[in-house]
Amino acid sequence: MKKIKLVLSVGIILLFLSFNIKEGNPFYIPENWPKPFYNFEDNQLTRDKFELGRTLFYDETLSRDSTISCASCHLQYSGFTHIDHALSHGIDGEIGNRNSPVLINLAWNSFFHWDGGVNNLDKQAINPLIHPKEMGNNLPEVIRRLNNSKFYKKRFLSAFGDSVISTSNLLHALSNFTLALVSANSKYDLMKRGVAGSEFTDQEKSGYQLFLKNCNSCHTEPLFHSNAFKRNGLKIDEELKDIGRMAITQRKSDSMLFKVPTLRNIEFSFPYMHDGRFNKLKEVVDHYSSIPAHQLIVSKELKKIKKPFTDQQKKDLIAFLKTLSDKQFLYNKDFMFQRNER
Amino acid sequence: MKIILFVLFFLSFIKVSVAQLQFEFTWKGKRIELEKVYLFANNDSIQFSELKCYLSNISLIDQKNKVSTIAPSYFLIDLEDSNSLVLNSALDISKYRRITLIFGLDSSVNNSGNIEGVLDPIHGMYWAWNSGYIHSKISGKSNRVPTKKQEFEFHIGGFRAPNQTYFNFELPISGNNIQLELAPFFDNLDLKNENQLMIPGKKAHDFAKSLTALISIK
Ligand code: HEC
Ligand code: HEC
Repeated sequence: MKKIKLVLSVGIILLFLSFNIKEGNPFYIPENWPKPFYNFEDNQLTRDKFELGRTLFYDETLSRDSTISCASCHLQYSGFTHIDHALSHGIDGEIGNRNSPVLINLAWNSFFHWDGGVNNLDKQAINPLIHPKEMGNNLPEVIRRLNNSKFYKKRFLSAFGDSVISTSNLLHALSNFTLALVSANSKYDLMKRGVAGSEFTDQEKSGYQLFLKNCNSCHTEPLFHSNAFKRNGLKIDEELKDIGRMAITQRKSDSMLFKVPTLRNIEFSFPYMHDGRFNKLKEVVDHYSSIPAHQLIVSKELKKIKKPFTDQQKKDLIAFLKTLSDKQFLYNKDFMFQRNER
Repeated sequence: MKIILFVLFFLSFIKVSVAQLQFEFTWKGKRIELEKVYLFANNDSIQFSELKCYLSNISLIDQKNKVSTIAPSYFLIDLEDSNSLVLNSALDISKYRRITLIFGLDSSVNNSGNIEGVLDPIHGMYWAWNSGYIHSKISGKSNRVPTKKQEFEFHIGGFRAPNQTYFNFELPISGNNIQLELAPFFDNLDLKNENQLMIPGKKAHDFAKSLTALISIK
């Protein structure tokens, strides 16, 4: 029995190592992290599929008029979100209804989109492809274009053993890329792993304590989200009238519930919230600090914030949030657009 | 050689003679054809431009209560594609007593990553923004619709309780044709005020439930 366990654990360690080497898909499960939600049996990760997914992610020809790629709204150096724009900008200059979210550690998300309308990462990409304000295309046309391309037929043949390109293989290739976007090398992570030189400053330590007390119940370590929908005290935007989760469930009690987003790389993923209403972390912290004054229904976790943060506390919190920035991730060459691929 | 050919010919004949299930949409018992005009009792008119629905998990039950399942488990019925109306199967349904099936696709299909074959969203029976299949599309026109184009369009779907639109049911096998009779559905519908449905919810649930009750085998 013990022997079996030993063999098994050696096997598992080897498996993880094999994920890490250059030849494999760069996805890996960081130490001490929970089990991912993604069902890897549906879509085996490989290097070929990852590289194909990356090519597709940066390819504008997937959009109706060949002007918009996934990367137009999901830029690597901002944690794979739009920056500067509060609401997403798509085809024909159309402005969407929501702020594009970061694409980080997606294997650990149990649902997608601000309202949780999408239940499976593989099915997510259908949205931007056919959304009239995003890439404005339709699936039969996308599949037709890919099948007319000698370049892609070769790539799909090598990745999936099939040169006839199907919706399923297109979506699986994209997921092979987006799943690989694992961020777990921020100063916070290095500190947790006891790496020399990554000790928190006094200010970061104080910010971390404040965070654990006031924020961690929703933005839970180590992913800094909780796969939950909450009301964090934002007033409804009278123009957008976005009711969040209720649009999906039709339940009144779900009105204004939004996904708790991850805070990893938050320093670079501004503007913030589902409608991008805040540009600076200072505004976010001010918001949480002043909630008790609002006469709004907020989720119970926020009732813990009894009195406004002091200016010093706000600065400390922001200093901690900045320890979640992962430069290795934001500048990882493997995630970038590859020139000379064709 | 001749004998082999003869046997082959004979075998192919046997295959054809296996009783197969067919699907049809009917209006007062008559098989519906697209774009043909049908009449309500008061002579109001209706015609259909699109009729599609999913059936799944079909099982047959024989005299000894043995259950056999028809593979594949998912069928996309599309009146425009006559091949889709024959539920091909090696099972001879005349040997069976009862049939169980799901009108629509259950939540496990809606939640899974399998999008092969008839489940491919390329068939336009999928909502991306609210992940899930559109179980039925019923579109056409009628002079009861008070708009200029007189068009109605119902996309019925949703799998989340309590508004799920898939229904399990069992019927005695009294023929080869699974019929969905649409006249009572439209008799009970106020087309003047209800001529569009594009989202999951209570309405979709109620629509799917009343459609399920109109399915029979003849
Ligand atoms: C026009 C801008 C735009 C384009 C182009 C775009 N996206 Fe998005 N993306 C968004 C927005 C906005 C959301 C959030 C939608 C919502 O919550 O309703 C989003 C959400 C996502 C999510 C879910 C993340 C989460 O945590 O919920 C993923 C994954 C994603 N996009 C991947 C892609 C891929 C892959 C492509 C290319 C096929 C793509 N996006 C193209 C704007 C865009
Ligand atoms: C009740 C759960 C809850 C608590 C507690 C909470 N948040 Fe949030 N947080 C949310 C939700 C929900 C959102 C998204 C709201 C939206 O966009 O409508 C959010 C959004 C954010 C964002 C913007 C993220 C982005 O990508 O746009 C930041 C930054 C943030 N929270 C920081 C904090 C900090 C700092 C604390 C502690 C002071 C905190 N949160 C406490 C639920 C919570």
